[in-house]
Amino acid sequence: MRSEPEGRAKPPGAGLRAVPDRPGEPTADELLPRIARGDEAAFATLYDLVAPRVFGLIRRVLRDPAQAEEVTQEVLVEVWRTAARFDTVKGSGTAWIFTIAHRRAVDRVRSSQASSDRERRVAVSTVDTPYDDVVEAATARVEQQQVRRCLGGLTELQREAITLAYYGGHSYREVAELLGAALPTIKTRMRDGLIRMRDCLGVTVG
Amino acid sequence: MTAIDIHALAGAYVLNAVDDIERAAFARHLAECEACAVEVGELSETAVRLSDLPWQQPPARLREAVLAEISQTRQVGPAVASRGVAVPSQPRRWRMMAAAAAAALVAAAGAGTATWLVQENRVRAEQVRADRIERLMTAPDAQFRTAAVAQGGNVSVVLSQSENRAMVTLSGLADPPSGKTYELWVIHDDVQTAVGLVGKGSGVQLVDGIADADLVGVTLEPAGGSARPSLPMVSSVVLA
Repeated sequence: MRSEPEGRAKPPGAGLRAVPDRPGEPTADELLPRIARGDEAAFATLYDLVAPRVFGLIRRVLRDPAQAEEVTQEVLVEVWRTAARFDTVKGSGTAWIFTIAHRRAVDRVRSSQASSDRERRVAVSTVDTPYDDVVEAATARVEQQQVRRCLGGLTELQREAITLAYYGGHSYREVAELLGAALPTIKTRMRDGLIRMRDCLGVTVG
Repeated sequence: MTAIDIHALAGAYVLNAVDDIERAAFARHLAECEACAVEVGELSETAVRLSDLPWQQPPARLREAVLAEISQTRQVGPAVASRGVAVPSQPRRWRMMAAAAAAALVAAAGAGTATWLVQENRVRAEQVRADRIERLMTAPDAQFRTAAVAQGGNVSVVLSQSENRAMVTLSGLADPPSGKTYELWVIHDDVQTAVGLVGKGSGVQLVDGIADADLVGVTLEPAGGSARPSLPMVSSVVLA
């Protein structure tokens, strides 16, 4: 599925970048404490910063654009509502936001679909490969290139397991069915694949 | 779940590729496995990077809608540490402390009826729960009872007939023996109803429909709970 971004016109001052790489622009880490104190202007800045990436992710998982808008709104309001709970010790502000976003998207996928819909989605997933679909739509930013490269460094089974889960919202049991693999194998591939991605991306915490 | 099974779930957990029961079990495990918590932290940051790839400018109306909604949305305060909520013996002080502690615990605790976790929850269910607790705590006929738990800890109950609801707080429980768990019961005449499982430490459980209940009981059961309480109880609180 090729998704052309809607409305390429950018608001003044905002680039295509979801995460700023220009020094002097505020980061999520800097904005969240202000947001926690009720600073609506800071929240509006954060919105412009992260909304395309949040919406992009949720749209990819949910596919239905109307539901994607709804869940994106829920997520961003949740970020506002619980900003005081963000603790820099536990990770970056961006990570916090996207953890909420992904969780909400998956919860919605699991709860809102009748089982027949879900089966159809699963069947469709075997035809359109989430990895290629996501990669083609991405623009060539440094972070994206890095993720693309590291995903490319996984084995095919690791990559498919991870992308079916993350972008497809599938449980590991569904992934096992889709890929015709045993449950322990899928669990292991997900974990090993993420460990490899971690090392490739150079992620450390704390 | 065996130790091997649990660790193997780390990847699926971080990708949200587990069901609610598995997520609860793994989150419980994380609380007691430092190495796992570190690994999950790193893999979680790694998974977040996957969100770098999809990108789509949302419609302008979304921005308006979000900004409008947040201007009407209350924000929560910072999280309060929730383990081992101390329960003083004087009822009045307990109510004031418990109101604050309960709000923090409720804000952090999950909505499942049979699990006791500190985890993210759906916004609406959380707010409903917080409202219920507030109404319970401030009900004119609210009563407070407490009892010690054999081998350590306390169970406290705030109940209101008019709200037809009780809040049961466990604190400072000794670790259950390996392979066992604490279970909460509401007893009315001969009918014993299971209302929740507690692994260790502390937790808060709201119980509806306690108007005719005689007793809240705590027992030790095999992991996963039992259909009927194993006697003798490790604690009971008389409600009538």
